Formats: sequence, C-alpha cells, structure tokens
Amino acid sequence: MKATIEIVNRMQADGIIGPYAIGGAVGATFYLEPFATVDIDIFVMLPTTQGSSLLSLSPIYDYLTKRGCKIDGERIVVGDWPVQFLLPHNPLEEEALAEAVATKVEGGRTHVLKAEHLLAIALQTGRAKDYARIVHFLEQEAVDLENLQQILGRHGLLTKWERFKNRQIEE
Amino acid sequence: MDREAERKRRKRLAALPFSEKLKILEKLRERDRAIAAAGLRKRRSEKASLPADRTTGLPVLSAGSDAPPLTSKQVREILFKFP
Repeated sequence: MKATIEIVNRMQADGIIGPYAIGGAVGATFYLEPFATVDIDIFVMLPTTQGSSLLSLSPIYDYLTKRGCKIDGERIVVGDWPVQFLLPHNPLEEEALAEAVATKVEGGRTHVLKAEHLLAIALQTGRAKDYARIVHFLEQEAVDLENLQQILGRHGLLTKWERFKNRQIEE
Repeated sequence: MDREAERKRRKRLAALPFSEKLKILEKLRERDRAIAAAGLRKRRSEKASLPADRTTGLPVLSAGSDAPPLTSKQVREILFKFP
C-alpha cells in the first residue's frame, strides 16, 4: 500500500492528477476496523486542459503503464494493489473530494474521504455491500450525524436515508 | 464470541493507527489470495441474462457459459408437458 500511495503522490507531483482521495473499503478502514477488499478506490480531479471540457482517465493510464503498471480490467495495478481511479461524477462526490481529510501512511501523505461523505456515497450507490458498510459506520458511531444530515439534505438523499433507516429498524 | 465482545473487538481495531490497519488489510488480502490460489473458494456461477440475438434482435435467454449443457432428454421431458 505504501508503494501505491508513493506512486500516486508522484503522479500528482508530476501534474498528471490534481487533488485525490481514497474512498471505498480502504477509505472506510480509516474510520472503522479493516475490511477485506480487492482494490483501492481513488477519487481524482484532473487538471483542466484549456479548450477541452472532455475529461478522460487516459493520462493516468498512459503515465502508469509507461512505468510498468499493468491494466487489470477496469483497474490498474499500482505498486502491488489494483487501483480504480474514479472521476467525481456528481456534486456529492465533488464535495467529498474537496473536503477530504489529510493523513499519513508510513510517513507518506495522503487524503481520505470524510466518514460522512463515505456514508452518503454508499447510500447513493446503494449496493448490498454499501448498505452493510453504512451499518458498520453507525454501529461504531464513526459519523457525525448532524454533519451527515446536512450532507444528505444538500444532495437530495434524505428520503433514501429515511427508507434505509426504516428498513434497518424492521430487520 | 457474544455481540458485546465482538463490538468491543471491532472498536479496538478501529482505534488502531491507519498505517497499522492497512497492514492488517494487506494480510486479509494475502489470505484471500492464498485461499483463491488453493481453489478453496467456490467459483461463482455466471448469471443468466437476456441478451438480444445478433441476427433477429429478439431477446434470447443465456444461462451463462458455465451452465451445465441441456440434454435432448431434458428437452423431451420439458416439451412432454408443453400444452
């Protein structure tokens, strides 16, 4: 993981990517107990190219493959971890990336999405494993509920949140 | 392990520094890969789907490439009760 983060930081220093933050199961591990996962989800901003509004991950893939990283389906193996680079595709993900938390991993700096944003994105995505992760966050009281409520309200997720809570109470 | 003890164990793990948790996560991944390499994990069956036929464009039922072959005997049995 250390090697992966070092390469991503180098890619950022070389101007290939802008700000980035770890999400998904690895991001959740920042706040909760470690989860078994097969890859790392990294949300990235790309530097805007003048005159172009088309955003593509190809600069990332070009940069990494030139340095020996192998493409594995929708992921690319960076260091010894498959990484899925994700461009924020809605205002919630843009806000999550903008407000990510800085931290250190074995001396190297990195950023992780805030717990409340991880939960909101999990709710928005809505797969079984996302709902399971929400339950973990709530059980371990790892989220600021007031902040969460504001985020959910800003991004039109309050109805979905109420439905989720009601279903959990029924179960 | 009862529910309360399990909750405390998870809380203790959650309180570890991020670097420590990532090391555990790597060990979990290594274990998963070892299990997969040893063939101890059940292969997930491919899902049936309803793709469009290339020639007619009509929907056809695909049972997935790993589905057991349908024998003539089974077809006869199915058609036997067909109205």
